[in-house]
Amino acid sequence: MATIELKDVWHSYDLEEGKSKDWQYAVEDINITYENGSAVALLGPSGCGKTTLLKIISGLTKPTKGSVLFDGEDVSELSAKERHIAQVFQFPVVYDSMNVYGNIAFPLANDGVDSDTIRKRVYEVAEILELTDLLKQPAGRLNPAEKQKVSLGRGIVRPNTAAVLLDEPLTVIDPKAQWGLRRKLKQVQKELNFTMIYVTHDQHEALTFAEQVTVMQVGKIDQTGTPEQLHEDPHSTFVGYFIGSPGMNMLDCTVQVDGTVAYNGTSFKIKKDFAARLLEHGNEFTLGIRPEYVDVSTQKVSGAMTGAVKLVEDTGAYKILTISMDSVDLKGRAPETMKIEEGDTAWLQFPEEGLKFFKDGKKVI
Amino acid sequence: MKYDNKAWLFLIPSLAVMALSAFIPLMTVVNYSLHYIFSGAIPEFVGFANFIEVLRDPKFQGALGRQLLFTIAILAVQMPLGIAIALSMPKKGVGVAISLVLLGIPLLIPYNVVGIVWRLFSQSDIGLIPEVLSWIGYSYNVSLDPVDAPVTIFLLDVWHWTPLVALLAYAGYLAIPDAFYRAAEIDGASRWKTFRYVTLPKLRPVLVLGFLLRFMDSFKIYAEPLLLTGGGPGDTTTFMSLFVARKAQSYELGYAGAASLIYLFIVMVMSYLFFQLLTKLGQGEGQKA
Amino acid sequence: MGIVVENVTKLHQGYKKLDNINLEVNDGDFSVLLAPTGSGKTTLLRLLSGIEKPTSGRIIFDGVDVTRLSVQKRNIAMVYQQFVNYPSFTIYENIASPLRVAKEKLSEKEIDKRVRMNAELLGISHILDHLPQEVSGGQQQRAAMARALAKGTKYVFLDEPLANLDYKLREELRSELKLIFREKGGAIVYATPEPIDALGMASHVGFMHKGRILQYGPVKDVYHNPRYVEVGEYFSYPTMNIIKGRKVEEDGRLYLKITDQFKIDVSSLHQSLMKDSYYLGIHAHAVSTNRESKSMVEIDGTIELSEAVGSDTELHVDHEGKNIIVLMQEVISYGIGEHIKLYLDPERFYIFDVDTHELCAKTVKE
Repeated sequence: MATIELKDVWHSYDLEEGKSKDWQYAVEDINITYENGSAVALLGPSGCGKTTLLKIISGLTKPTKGSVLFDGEDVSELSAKERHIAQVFQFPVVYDSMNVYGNIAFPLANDGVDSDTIRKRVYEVAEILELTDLLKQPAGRLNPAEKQKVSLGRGIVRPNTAAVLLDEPLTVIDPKAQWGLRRKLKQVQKELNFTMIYVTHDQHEALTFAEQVTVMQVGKIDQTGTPEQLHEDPHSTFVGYFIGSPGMNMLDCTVQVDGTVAYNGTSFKIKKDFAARLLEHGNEFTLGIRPEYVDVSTQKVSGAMTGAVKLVEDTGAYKILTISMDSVDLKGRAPETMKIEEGDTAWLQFPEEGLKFFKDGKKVI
Repeated sequence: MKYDNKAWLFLIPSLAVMALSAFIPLMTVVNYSLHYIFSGAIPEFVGFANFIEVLRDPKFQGALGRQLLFTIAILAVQMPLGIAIALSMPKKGVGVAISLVLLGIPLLIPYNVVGIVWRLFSQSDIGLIPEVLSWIGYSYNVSLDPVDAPVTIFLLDVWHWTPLVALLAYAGYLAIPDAFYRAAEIDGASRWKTFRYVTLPKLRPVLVLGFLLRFMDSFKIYAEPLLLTGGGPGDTTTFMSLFVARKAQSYELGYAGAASLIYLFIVMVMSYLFFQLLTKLGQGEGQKA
Repeated sequence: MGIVVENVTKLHQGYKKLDNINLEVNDGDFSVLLAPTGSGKTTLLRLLSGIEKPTSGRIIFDGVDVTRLSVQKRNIAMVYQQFVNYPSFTIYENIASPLRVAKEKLSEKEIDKRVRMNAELLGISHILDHLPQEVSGGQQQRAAMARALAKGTKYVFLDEPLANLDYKLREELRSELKLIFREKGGAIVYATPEPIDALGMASHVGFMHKGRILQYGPVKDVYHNPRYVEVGEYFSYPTMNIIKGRKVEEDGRLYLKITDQFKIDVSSLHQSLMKDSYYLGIHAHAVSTNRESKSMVEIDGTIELSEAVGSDTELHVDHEGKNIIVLMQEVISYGIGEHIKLYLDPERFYIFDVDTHELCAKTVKE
């Protein structure tokens, strides 16, 4: 187990391949620290650079600029094996010609560990992963979820493993089996206290597994935080949109000295001192508010904005409303019990606590 | 289902061709094998007498023995050599095209041309091989020496057909996802262990194919020995197919028919056994759990 | 008018892929076939489109028996899970392709109009001159849908079209699809294993299980009156908790008891409950972590897992060996092993027969 640090890391594949012009960075200005024993996720859409970072941490790729430190020591020159990194891939990687026992024992056997110690350790790992009954089975015959557990087993069997890197490990797993595997991953991380870094584009996986999530976009880190922090306090419009289902509503607006926030032909008021703080940064902003914080009412509320209910999606637990106000569509949530139909008029209010203001994509207040 | 039935119709042309070129001649051979045939005279039904005569004939046994030895040597050398070549070929860049062409050339040359080219190479008076070997003091004579002849045929076959194994192994090798090698590296596997636990198992389907193809092909080798040595000196390079063909050419059709059916039977049984063995081999080994 | 499926059975190598299916989809319906993988929904769609023919039974479109009719003659459009586009055609040409091979020749102007209209509807007007491999998966699937719509057929069939897309994309397309198909007219039949697709988009839902349709009807009806345990459990977001309880009498009242803490008063239903044990069902969102009323039943549990799902949290709680899932409408994390008190409203339960799996009673007021 180790504390992993990425310091001023920049990487360009173009430069790596020798292109001298029109090169681009796949990842830019990366600075992160992952404490020893933490459950971490790298989250972002395809092409955001998360796989590149994973390769840099594992040692497969040497960054164009910057360094990788394990427990304070620079490991930039060391290979994956030398860094004691274990990896679980997108599709299960098992040695088909060996049984499950042989697979999990493999790293230790290669290290020259004596067979008694190996035996003890393999059984320990198999028990944690609930694979004890499958030890004698040829690894090739297992289903994908079981194979991934074997992969993970190989990753954690060595006591000096610095970190386990998981690259979208649930990709080929059947939706029904995913829950069990997610739970097992989290359980293993907690029990064995490994540093585990989970790379994915699925916020569900990331937010469930990790205590610390790094959201990336186009090669840059947008924000690192706990799931609650990312949800409640997004530092960029991207994080606001990407986290949450549905994502945050984004509206271009202008703020005036008297506290009027105007967008799309309509407006509402915020407290003057709040407005004053905002106006220090200019007067044009992007307003963000989560659908669940939009106050929706079917009864007339004086001073509230109005809109027409365009769409009601009833999930059984609550309703997701799409409300159109002129040219802008807003999403809101209504409790299951609210009687609201498509075509109804809705009165909307934006409680100040739920408002986030962004400028040029970045959080202002 | 409707469209399944239509599919069978598409097979008719192939089945017709097969019937004409394989099935009917086969039936003719079976017919021969059960009769005693003497030129001109009416064939006499002798039941299995031909078969017994063939199996007892020391010349048949000799040809079969030589054939088995040859095939075993071929497989023992061409399989590992082909794999080794495949693994050392470049995976990307301009070298790929060059290697593929170099490997492909021997495969593209027809059997008889190969035979003639090698005969020219090995001919005592004008050949390159005897000349070069004389420099190291070895007097090489393919038409007289009972060791030189089969060894030459052997080397010819290795040159001619190892590329097939290499190409198959190469294609199979390229198909192995990189992740497996990374995992093996992380697991600290040595080069040999990586080969044994990642490359070889993943190449298995392709290698089984290569093995069976080489087995069946080498077991019926015909044109090369015929052109190079004519089966000699003596019968040192008379392998099974040449042996049977000669018998047929000298109108011992009953004998030849029986011999060729026994030949067919041996190939079929061995192919089946090899297939079963190779596909089941090495599944689920590992330390005792 | 509409689609009628009459007593359709499909056999495959001896076993029944579809067993005596009867279905009616009317004009204007958005029907979702909901089922886990392997239940036969894809097979049913293939029969409707004509790719496969039923072993027995009839399929009728607008009063005409189309059972033996080939795909091309049925005039339908289909969208698949894998984004199927002609790789060498631009997106524009892909959308135009069914119009170019149509029986009635359309003028170039007419084709252009329809292509642009449908591209606009699906939000892909800006990539019309790209090739399929140059655009993202989501856009490729939108192109496939635009092509299906451009054809202008009355019936459109979709087989898990969102399955291969990212979480966020699925979420967005779900809302869009509902609006797009509403404009269309005709009828939609959409197969999916995700209950939330049905809940969000459909007017009608049919739950399939092992080749049979267990229940079909308007979404609200099926949701509030699940006829079988399987329907209640599956057609729910995130799920319905199903736990077995014994019928006991305590202090003159009738209860369905799971544990000492967990017992539900069913005295008013004693006439419908003749057996000794029943399955109790309660939606995950009906379980609370706060006591919202005096009548709520309080139980103690330990947290097994807390999963963030979009803007909600799914809590998996263990109560004396029983697994209960709670949907919390906020993003909050709990540690594994933490103790928690859960509150269940006794008036939100469904009661199912243990043998027949049928709904026999419910405490839910509707």
